[in-house]
Amino acid sequence: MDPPLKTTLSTVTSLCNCTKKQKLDQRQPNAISRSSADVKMKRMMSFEEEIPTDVFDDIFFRLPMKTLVRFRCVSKPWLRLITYSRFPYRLLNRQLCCDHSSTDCKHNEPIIIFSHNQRNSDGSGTKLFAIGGGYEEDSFRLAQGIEFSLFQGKDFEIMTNSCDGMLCLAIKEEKILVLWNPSTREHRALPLTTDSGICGGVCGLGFDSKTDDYKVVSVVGKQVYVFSLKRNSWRYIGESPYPLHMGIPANGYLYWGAGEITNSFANRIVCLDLSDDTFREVQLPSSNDLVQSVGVGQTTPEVGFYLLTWSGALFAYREQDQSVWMLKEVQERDTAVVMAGEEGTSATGVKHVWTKLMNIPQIPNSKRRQSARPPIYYKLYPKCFSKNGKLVMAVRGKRFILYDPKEKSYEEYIVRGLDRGRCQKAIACVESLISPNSIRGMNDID
Amino acid sequence: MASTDDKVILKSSEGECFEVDMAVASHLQIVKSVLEDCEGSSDKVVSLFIVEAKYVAMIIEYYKNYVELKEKHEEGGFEEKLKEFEKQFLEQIDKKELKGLVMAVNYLNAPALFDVVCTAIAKHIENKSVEYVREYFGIVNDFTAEEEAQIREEHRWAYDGVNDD
Repeated sequence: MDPPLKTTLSTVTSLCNCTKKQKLDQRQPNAISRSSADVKMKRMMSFEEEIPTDVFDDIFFRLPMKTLVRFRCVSKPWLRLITYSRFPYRLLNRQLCCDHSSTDCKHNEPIIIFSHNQRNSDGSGTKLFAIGGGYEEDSFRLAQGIEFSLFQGKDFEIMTNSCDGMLCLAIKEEKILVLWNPSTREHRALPLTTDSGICGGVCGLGFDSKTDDYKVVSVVGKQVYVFSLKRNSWRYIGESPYPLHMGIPANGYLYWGAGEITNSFANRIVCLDLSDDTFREVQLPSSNDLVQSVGVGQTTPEVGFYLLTWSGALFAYREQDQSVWMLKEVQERDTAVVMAGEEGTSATGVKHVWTKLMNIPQIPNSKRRQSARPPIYYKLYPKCFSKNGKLVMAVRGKRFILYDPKEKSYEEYIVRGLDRGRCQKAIACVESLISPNSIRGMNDID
Repeated sequence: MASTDDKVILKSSEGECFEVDMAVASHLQIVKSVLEDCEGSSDKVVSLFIVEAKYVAMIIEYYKNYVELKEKHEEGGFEEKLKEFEKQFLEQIDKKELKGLVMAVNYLNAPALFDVVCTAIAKHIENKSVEYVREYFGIVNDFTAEEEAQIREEHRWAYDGVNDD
């Protein structure tokens, strides 16, 4: 007797899920019920004529963002999958967890976005360009324009580092602030009150995993305001303990270069826990070897740090000895909350353990290399790592350096594809499909 | 444990039989699990019911080479050799057949080949138009003309550089 169709279908679905899960879990023993071979194979018989959705997931993971954006209009189910399901989050997670050095890595290079003020005949206005994003490292050499029609012809600024492929742009004079995804070019205007300086003070974007919400941080003087994308409103959270540079999201926190900040190098690092709105001081990488190089008897030299993130981890570049450190472990421990006004109170905090990854050699300015005068060394701004683990560093304007820590070699180049003009802020970004208008969070269901 | 000398017979949907080494067949997780269930039984025929003979042949060819290359290049160099073979392997497959192959491989749960075929499909459709993709996968466009036009308008830049062969 034939079983009713509905039962057959659900059995097939559960079996299909089972095999898929098995693949993910590296095959759990006894995951499939013990039945005779024939019955088992037969049950799978009525599998779909069409490609199942989870297979599309696997195909989509291997497509460039531009293609995925285009395929939104293939059909309603594709639009739903690409835009409104959890697929963008699965894709992002996969990018973050991917072993980029392995030959199996199908992902593109990260992108570096920078604003560029053009001084040519077609008039004023800031333009946005991106380097990277291709499958090959060479994509870091050629800039490609990214249109953002809302701000066309206007002077605007990049306000934050990127978080999950999104960042904040603002026209300060007009008090217009938007959250923007350069991969999909979708934006969302964030509401502002007219009299506050919130717009100009925006300097951080992060993800709060406890509430599955993206948050924008603005520092006006010492006062800190946080905007929740889900609540669509600003909230005052208190005063910041130090002057802050641009926040960088990693490990579920927003980290900041803080304290005295010269040329973007800060002498302190603090982190903001977006789930409870508290700042904590981050212990700096050990300066023992720095003291040694300076000489015994001298005081610890002033240090300057520049932060970057890659694959979800935080890295700090120390200018003095050009060393790069990775924040390796974050353990719960009692630490003092350094939020101004609440000093001395204790809370469960984080312990920061830094591991030194490399020392970058001093790189002499190429223009002076031929002359007899003593060399001038470049000031380096590490932006991101390429898939092969090379460090992409901005030097000045269109000049970049690609440093290979394995070979200890470097290549200096000038980014092509740009007109005359001035390069401004350059920030590293992953490509993502997460829409500023449809914040769902990792744990929300489809 | 089955030794590598063991053979197993895979039967396609048409009833065609393929005799393969256990070492090859065990890469198909579903076959492996079935054989484990029936351990001790002398019957070593596994029916793949829905998988057509041409796909069974492709899958066997892939894993036969996979196993051989792995043995031959134990000391290293396996990944490069496999990549070379994969390129050659994919060249013989018609683009339309990739679709059937991915479903067969997904059904048989063979991770390495699944990865190869998904990548090949992605490479194939990467620069293709929406119309091509609908036809390729047999997807019905359920948007109204207005809805589609609106979605296209929102992301006009994504439609540059498309080839329609």
